Amino acid sequence: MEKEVICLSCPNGCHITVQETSPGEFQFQGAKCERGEVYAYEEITDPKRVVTAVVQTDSEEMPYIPVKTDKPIPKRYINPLLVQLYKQKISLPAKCGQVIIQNYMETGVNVVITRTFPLDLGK
Amino acid sequence: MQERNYDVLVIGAGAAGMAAALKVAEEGLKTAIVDREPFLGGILPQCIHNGFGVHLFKEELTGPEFAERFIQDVVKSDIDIYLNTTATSMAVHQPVKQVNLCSSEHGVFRINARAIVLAMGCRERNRGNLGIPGTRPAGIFTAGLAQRLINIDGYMPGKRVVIVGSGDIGLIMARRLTWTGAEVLAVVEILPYPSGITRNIVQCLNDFNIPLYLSHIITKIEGKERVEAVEITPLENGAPNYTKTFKVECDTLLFSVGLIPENELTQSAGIKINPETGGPLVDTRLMTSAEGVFACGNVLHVHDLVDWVSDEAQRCGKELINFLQGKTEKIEQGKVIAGANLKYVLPNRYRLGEKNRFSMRSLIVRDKATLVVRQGEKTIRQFTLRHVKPAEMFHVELKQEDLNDLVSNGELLPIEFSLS
Repeated sequence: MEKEVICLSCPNGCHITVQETSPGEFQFQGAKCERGEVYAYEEITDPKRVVTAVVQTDSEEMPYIPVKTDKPIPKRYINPLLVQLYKQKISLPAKCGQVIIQNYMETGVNVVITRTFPLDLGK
Repeated sequence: MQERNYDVLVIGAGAAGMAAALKVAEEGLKTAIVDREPFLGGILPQCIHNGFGVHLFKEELTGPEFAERFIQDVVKSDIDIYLNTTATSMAVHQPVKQVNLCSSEHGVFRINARAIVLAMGCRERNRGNLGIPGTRPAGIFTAGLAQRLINIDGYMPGKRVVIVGSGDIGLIMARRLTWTGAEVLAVVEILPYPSGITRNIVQCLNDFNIPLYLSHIITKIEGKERVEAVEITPLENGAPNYTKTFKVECDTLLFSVGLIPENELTQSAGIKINPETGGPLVDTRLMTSAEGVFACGNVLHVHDLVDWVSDEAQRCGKELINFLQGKTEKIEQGKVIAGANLKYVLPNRYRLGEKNRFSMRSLIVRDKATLVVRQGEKTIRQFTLRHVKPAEMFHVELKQEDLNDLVSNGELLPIEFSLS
C-alpha cells in the first residue's frame, strides 16, 4: 500500500510517500527532516484533528455558541461527536473555556466553549 | 449636535482597532473606540476555527478566543466603547479632527480628537467584481457571509455547494459546510496554484475528498429562483476551452475571491489611497496623507494572519503616541518602491536612525527567492527567502546601519525592493 501525505509541521509542506512494507512497518520518502516522518506516521496510523462547531443555546440574543475540542481528536470520532453536539442545547450565560463534554468516549478530549456570553462591558 | 472630546478616536473594534486602542490608552491618552456591530471583535467572533494566535500567544486559538483576549483588556481599560455606531464622515485636515457618527443610543453626534486610527478592516469581493454570466437567482453568497449565517445566526445557506476561489475563507467554509451536513462538490480556482495555505488544502479539502479544479473558471450560473447548476470551464494558455466545459448541479455558490480594504470613509475625507493595496498611502509612522490620521490592519492592506494585524496595530499605537508627544512631528523620510515581482511594499516611506520593518507581497511562486534592496545604484541588503507566494505576506527588517544618508535633489534617495 502506498499513500501520499503532505506534512504540515512547517511551511515547507513536504510531500511524503509512505509505503507499508509489512503490517505496521512503514517506509517514508520525501521528508526533508525527521519531523516529517513522525507526522506522516501519525497521519497514516491515527490521524487527529481539532474539531470546532457551534451549539444551540436557550438565548434568542445568541442562538448559537462556538465550541472546540481542547485537543486534536482521532478522525473516526469526529462524525459521532458532531452528531452529539448538534443535539445539545446550552443554557446561557456561558464562559469561554467552560467544559460541556468531559473526556469524550474516553479519548481524554474535552469539548469547551470558546466565547463568553453575555460579556459584561462594564461601561 | 452633541460633541465629545478625546485625544484619540479609533474607528473599528476588530483585531487592529482593539490592539491600537489598548496601546494608546496605556499611555494615558483619553481614547474612544467605535464599531458599527453590537459587539467587539470585528470578524473574529464568526471565525470559529482554530489556528489564530500562533505567533502572538504561542498557542492555537479560535477566532472568538483570540478576540476575547483583547476584549477583556479593553473592558478593563479606560477606553470608552461606542457600539452600534457608524462613522459617516470626517474632517481631518486640521489639528483637531472631527468625526461625525450615528448610533441608536446617541443619535447623530460628533467626536473631536487630536488623532485618529483607521481600523475599519476589509470586505469581500463578490460576484459583481468578477462579472460571471448567467441568471441572478438566490443561493449566491460570499464565503464570509455564509460563515456568518452558519456560525452566528445558525442558518444553513444550502445543501449542494460549489465554491469559487481557493482563498482561505473558502477552504475553511468547505470544511464547515461538510461538518454541518452539506455536500461541497467542487472548489474552482482561476490560478494554476491554490490561493490558500497548504494546511487548509489538506485539512479542509483533501480530508473530505473535495475536488479542487485549478486553472478553471465558472462560465455560467443557471437557475431562475434558486441556483440550479454552474458550468465550469478549464483555462488553457489563459483562454477558456469551452469544448471541455462541464456542468455541476448545485443549489449554492460561494465566492472566496479576495478582500478589499474598506476605505470609503478614508477617501471621502480626502486621504490618498495606494492603488496597489487599496489602503491609504502611509509613511514610516503608518500615518496617512492627513497629519494625525493613522491606519493599521486590513484597512491598510489585507493580511493573511491576524497575528500580524495585532502586531502592526501595536506599532501604529506606538507611532501615534510619539507623534502626539511631538517626537516625530518632523522626521526625514525617503520613498520606498516595490520593484520587480513585488505587488507592494509597506510602509511607503523609510527613515534613518533606527530599524525599519516592511511588509510585502510577492507576485511569483518561488523556492529560495532572493530579495534585493537598493538605495540608488547601491545594493544595501540582500535576503534569501525559503519560499514566496502571493498568498503569503512576508516581512523583512532593515537595520539602522543598512540605510545611508544619501541625498539627491535635497531628498533622501529612494530604496527599491526587488524579488527574483
